[in-house]
Parts: sequence; C-alpha cells; structure tokens
Amino acid sequence: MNNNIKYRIEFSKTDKMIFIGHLDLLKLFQRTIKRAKLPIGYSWGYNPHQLITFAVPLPLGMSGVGEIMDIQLTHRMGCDEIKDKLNECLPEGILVLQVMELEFGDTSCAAAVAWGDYWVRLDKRYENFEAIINNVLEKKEIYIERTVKKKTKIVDIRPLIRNIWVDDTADVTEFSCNIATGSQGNLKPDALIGYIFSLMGETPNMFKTDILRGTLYTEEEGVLLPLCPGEKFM
Amino acid sequence: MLKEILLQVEKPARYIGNEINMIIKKPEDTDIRFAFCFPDVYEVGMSHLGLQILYYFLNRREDTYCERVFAPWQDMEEKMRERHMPLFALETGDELKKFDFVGFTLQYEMSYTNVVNMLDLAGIPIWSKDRREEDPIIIAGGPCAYNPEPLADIVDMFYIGEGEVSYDELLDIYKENKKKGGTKNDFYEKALGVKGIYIPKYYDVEYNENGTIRSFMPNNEKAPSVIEKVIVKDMDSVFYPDKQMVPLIETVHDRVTLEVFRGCIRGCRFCQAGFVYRPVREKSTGRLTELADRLIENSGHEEISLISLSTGDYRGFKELAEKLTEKYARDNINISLPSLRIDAFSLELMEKVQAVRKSGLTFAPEAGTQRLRDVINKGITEKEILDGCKLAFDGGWTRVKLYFMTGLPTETDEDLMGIVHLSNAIVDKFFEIPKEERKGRPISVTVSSACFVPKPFTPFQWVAQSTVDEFRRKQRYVKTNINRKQVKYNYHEPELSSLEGVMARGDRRCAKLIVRAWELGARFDSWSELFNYDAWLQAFEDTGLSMEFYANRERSYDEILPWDHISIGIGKKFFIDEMERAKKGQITPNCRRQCAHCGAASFGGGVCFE
Ligand code: SF4
Repeated sequence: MNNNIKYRIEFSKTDKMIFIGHLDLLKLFQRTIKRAKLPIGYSWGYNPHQLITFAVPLPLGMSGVGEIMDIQLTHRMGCDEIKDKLNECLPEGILVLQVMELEFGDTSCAAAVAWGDYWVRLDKRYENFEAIINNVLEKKEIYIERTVKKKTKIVDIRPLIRNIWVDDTADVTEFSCNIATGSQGNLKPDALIGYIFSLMGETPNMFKTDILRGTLYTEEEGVLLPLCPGEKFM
Repeated sequence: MLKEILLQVEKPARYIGNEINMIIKKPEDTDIRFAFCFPDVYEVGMSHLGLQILYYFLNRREDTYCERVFAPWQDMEEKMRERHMPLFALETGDELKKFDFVGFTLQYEMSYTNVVNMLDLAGIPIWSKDRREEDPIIIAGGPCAYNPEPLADIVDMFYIGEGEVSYDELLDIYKENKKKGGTKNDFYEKALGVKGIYIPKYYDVEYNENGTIRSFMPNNEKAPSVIEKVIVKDMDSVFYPDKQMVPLIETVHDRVTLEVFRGCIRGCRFCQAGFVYRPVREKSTGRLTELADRLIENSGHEEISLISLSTGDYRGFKELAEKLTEKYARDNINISLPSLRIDAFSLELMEKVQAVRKSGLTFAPEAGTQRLRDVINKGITEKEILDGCKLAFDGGWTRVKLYFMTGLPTETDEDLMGIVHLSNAIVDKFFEIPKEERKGRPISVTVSSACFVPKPFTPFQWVAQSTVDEFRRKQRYVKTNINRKQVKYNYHEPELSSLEGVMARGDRRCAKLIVRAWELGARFDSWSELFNYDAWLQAFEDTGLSMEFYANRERSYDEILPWDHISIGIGKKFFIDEMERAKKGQITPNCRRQCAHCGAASFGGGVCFE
C-alpha cells in the first residue's frame, strides 16, 4: 500500500518514433519523467524502478494516437501541468494528449484494456475487398494457426473481432477494425491482415502497409468505454 | 521509401536521430554545414564522449550546423545500395554532398575501411585528388590522426589535437573565403596558417629502395615543416556541454559522462593515449560538481560516469567522489567509475555507489612478471594486485578480470608463465578465506590477453610486432599452462591486431591497401563477426605491400618515421631514452612523483606546473 496518486496518460507515438520498440519507449518515458522533474513513485526492493504501467505495447512500425499509460506520483499535481511538463521534454513524435487523475482503486490500464481501434492502409487497391470483409464478418468461427512462444496452436479468432469497416473511396484500400487488444485476449492486426489476404490468395506486403492504432477501450457489461475518456487536443 | 527500408533492418532507430537534446536548426539559416561522421555503428558512436563535446561545441556557433552520421550496418548498407540511396545525416536526413565539411573522428585504426565506405555511400570520390570544387571538404581528427599518413591521400585535411582549440578559427576562415567566392584551394592555403592543421597534399614523400622514407618535404612555402598538436590549457574555462544527446535505443553506455581530466601521469610505455594527451590537465572539483548536476538534470539518465585515463589519479578524487555519492545515492543515480585502481578507498566507494552490482573487479597488470611490468613502466606490483583482491573478496566480490598483453618487447616464455602464476595466486588468495565465510560463492578469474600493437609516439614505436604465428604460439602456451578450473582465458584475434599494427605505423602507401581491402568487402573490421581477414591478405597481394614491413620490422632510431612531421610536444630524444630505459628494465616515475622532462611542459599548463 502506498499513498501515491495515480494518473492516466494518453499519448501519441507517430512519425519517426514508430521505429522505437516498447522497452525503449519505457526508457524514454523514465528519462522524460526525470527531466520533467515529476515526483514519480518508485517500487520497493533492491532495484527500485519508476511506477509506470502501459496498457499494451505498440509494436514497432505501428503508429498510435490513443496510447495509454498509468503513472504514480508521490504528490498531487494538476493534470495540465503534468501534460505540459512532459510535452516540453518529449522528442518530436511523442505527444501527451491528455492526463486524468484516477480514483483510488481504479483498475490499472493494463488490466482494464480489452479492445482497440486500428486503421489499416494497404499497399494498393484491392478489388472486391468489401465483399471479402463481409464474408469474414458473416462467419461464426475463424480458425487460424497462431504461434505463441514457439508453440503453434489452432485458435478461433472470430470472437476477437468486433467489427471491420472498409473505406472504398481512396485509391488504395483502407479499412478500420475493432479487435481484441490486451492481455485478456489479443488479435494482432498483422494476423488479421494475413488471414484476409489468405482468403484473396495473396500475401500482404507488410513493409508497405501503414497501421495506426486509435482508441483503446475497456469493456463493462458489453459496453466499450475509452480508457481515457474526455476531450483531447491534437 | 525510408519507412519501408527501416522496417526491414535491425534496430531502425539507428537511422532516425530525433534524440532528446538533438540540435535542430534550419540549414538555410546557417553558413556552414558540418557532417560529423563516426565510422562505426550508431550505438558505439553515440557512447563516445568526443562526439558529444564537439557536436555541441560546433553547434554553439550560430553560423554552423553540425549533424551526425554513423556507419550504416550491413543490412542497411545493402538496402541503401539497392535503392541508390545516398548516406544521410540524422538531423535533417540530407545527403552528405550538401555539406561544407565531412569530418571523421578516427578512434581506432580498424575503422578506416568504414571511412572509405561512408564516402562511397555518400557518392563522394574516395581519393582526395579526385574531388571537385563542389564536393565537401573531408577533415579528420581523433587519436589516430596523430599518424595521419595511411589516410593522407583520402582525407583533405587533418586536425591534430583537441577540437576546442582551432575549429573556430578554421571555420571563420572558411566562412570568409566562401563569402568572398574563394576556391577550396584558397581556403586550404589560408588554413595552413592555423595551428594543428595538416594538409597532406602540400607535402611530398620520397622513398628509399628498401621502402623506408628518404624525405618528407613541404611543397608549399606556407606549409609548416612540423605540425604541432593543439591542446586546451585550462580545462575549467574551456567549453563543456551541459547536456548530452540521449539515444532512443540502448547504446554501449547509457549514462552521462563527466570528463575529469585529460592526459595521464603514468607514462606506460605502450600507451599512445598516455603520451599524445600530455600533459595532464584537470578540471576543478567545483566545476565538475556543477557540470554533474546540469548533465543529470538535462538528460534524465540514472547513471553518471567519471571518466579519464586513470580517474583515481585525480587530485580531488576523494572529495569529488564523496560529494557526488552523498548527493546522488539517495536519488537512485548510479556513479560509475571505470579505470579505478583497486584499493581500500575505491572499494569502499564502489560499495556505496554500486550497491547492487558486485559483478566484476578489473585489474590491468598488462604483463605477467615484475620484470616485464618494469619494462613497460606499468607501475603496479603483484602485492598490490593480491592485496586488492583480498580486500575485494572480503567485501563480497568474487569475479576478477585481468587484462594482459602478449608480444610485449623483451617478453619471454617466463613472462607468459607469469600470467598463469598471477591468476593462480589470486585463486589461492580466495581459498585463504575460511570455508564458512565463502558461503559457497564460486570464484572466477577471467584472463584477457590482447596482442601488443606498437604505436607511434610511444617509446615502443620502433619495435617489431610479433607475427600472427608468434601470437598464436604465445596464446597457446598460456592456454595450455592454465590448469585451474576457476581461471578462464580469453584472447584477441592476432590477425586483427596485426592489421592494426600495419595501420598504426603505416605510411601514405597504405591507403591503397585500405581501399583495396574495402573493394574486396572489408567493413567493420573491428567486429569479429564481420572481420574478413582474407580480403586483407588479398589486398596485400594486389597492392604489393607487405605486412612484415609495416608490422614486424624493427626500425632504427635514425629512420624517418611516417609521422615525424607531427609533433605532440614530446621529442624523439625522450622516446629514445625511454626505450633504452625499458631495455634495462628501469622504470620512470610518474609526472607527480618526479618530472621526466618529456617536453610537454612547453604547452604551459597542467601537471607540469602544479
Ligand atoms: S614535462 Fe614532466 S610533468 Fe610535464 S608531462 Fe612531461 S614528464 Fe610529466
């Protein structure tokens, strides 16, 4: 038990910053918090570390505009002050969008996160893409092979897909989806794209595919609530 | 396109810049664009203090924008060549051709193929003579520039000495010349008057039939016959950045670095750094504590490293160490103290500042017997090492690392056996501790032996280096004789050290060799997984140069050495005396014990006037 005050931070990771991985991002925030002189709380023990938790790592190469982390401070500070201080010290490409104070006893973001919005821009235009997606959404079960920790399993990913929307107006195919995200159940957008392409009999060019993660949600009695609700200024 | 490439290479953050404390300027608002090139991979270059200092030093000028460039790793080079993408600077992403200066820092000889590769990737002609008016000026500095000759046909101008001294003058001249519409040659001729600047094309070399140098003469009346190194006199007033770039990915050293002093009082006879950075010049404790605060504040790092060639020799060491520990221990900030001699005080200190890391203790006896240690003037005795170990074992350390060299002048098999004896003696010291107190902790002694490379501007600059076969035999000899299971033996590749030996004492003809080896695929030679010895052997064959001539030949005192036109302030006479003393096993006391009148007092500062 401690008397720390918990804050939830929503931030974006875009542009050049998509090329740093999760552990490096953690380090960057640790240093930024020090430079910003926030009264960060530390864990106990031999090797104390700053009390920071991320909702769910963002894979290298992906942009995110609704990334979430929780931090604990030893003293209360204004949410806007935290935001401004961090933004002053962050490099271009990472921007704190909003900060909110959590209630005592709120679930941590890592435990709460359940769903995420993703936006995908493929390398070119694919004909009949909408029909393929409708077909996917009509299925009751979708079994694919997944490799977790070097073990291959056959799993049903249909329950991990809430929705997919195709945008057929642009000159390259784009779609958005709301899929399971987090430790309770997770579907990687890469895996979803791979599955869709297998239906088309093609392999996707992932190096030319842009993926952006949007809002992260928690689920309460079947309703999705953003982990960090509120106004954000981008 | 860049994104597509970056998603396909290892550690893409090597190529994006954007670090905390990176300098952002509009190139069009400046007069001079300077590309600071580190001819090795990003993580190595970014851990280098000299880069951090010079980056901020140059960027403190409003008229100059200094950006960084590192050697792209193999995978990236492949992609760049596939797509004809020129080498670019991290800050703006602009290609090197757009710069006024492309400056290389030469930290080790085996990075020379990377220099060539980077020029080529930038689309800049490799040979100085092939460059046109619109190409950037290639300038190089750093410790290897003290023998500039192997790169003399590649690099346009060398900077001999410490960057803070002459760069302002040089850049002012450049800017004025550019404004007036002067040519590169106009600039070069004016630059001949700047202290520490060496422009190879204004000097001609002639060779004797046996391959040695017959004469080395200026061919321009403004070219000085001897180029003297430039050094900072007062370390307190000289510029030092109050921040450091903080990389976005893990690098070799993730910490802020505080330079405590330059130079070394010790005078180990194999050590080039110990001579070229003479005399010792210290920063005051007050200045250091002030800098430490600002660096930590501005970087967010949780570790600060006090560096120098031998930090324990700092006169204010105790005071500084105590001040910093007191201040930072509570704040979760580690203090790292590389190059410390192990004694009661330093152990106590390490205990305080590195509480959790009782990993390894390091000693560098360099040679196995007292006789040979006297020859190389390494002032450390077996008793000191054993006493240090005893203290360390009592304090809970159980891993000891020992650094040695093989192939030192006058070395015999007895000296090699000395390595074995010393390691065993350390193990025995450990077992002197009563069993109950050892608590089952295992002891390990790691012996690392490097291959001795004779370097210019040392008393050993004339000696023959051991051949690859000799090194191998010596390593095998030590290895076979190590008979305790607690002792582990590591050794360096003699092939690499031999090539280093060639480059270290090479002359102008060696450029052909470097370029040929590069053509045959040599890159990142100091990375054992990429080292391509066959390419080098082929390059010797193709160029008709001989490894034996450069590495394994003993020179006479009267031979003209390729670096004789460079002066570090210490005369040949001193080195000859030192070499003779070495042969007799006579030690020379350190600068603080008794001045040996090496000549460095002529710089008018530092330890010589303490
Ligand atoms: S002149 Fe004397 S004190 Fe100065 S560097 Fe040389 S030996 Fe040391």
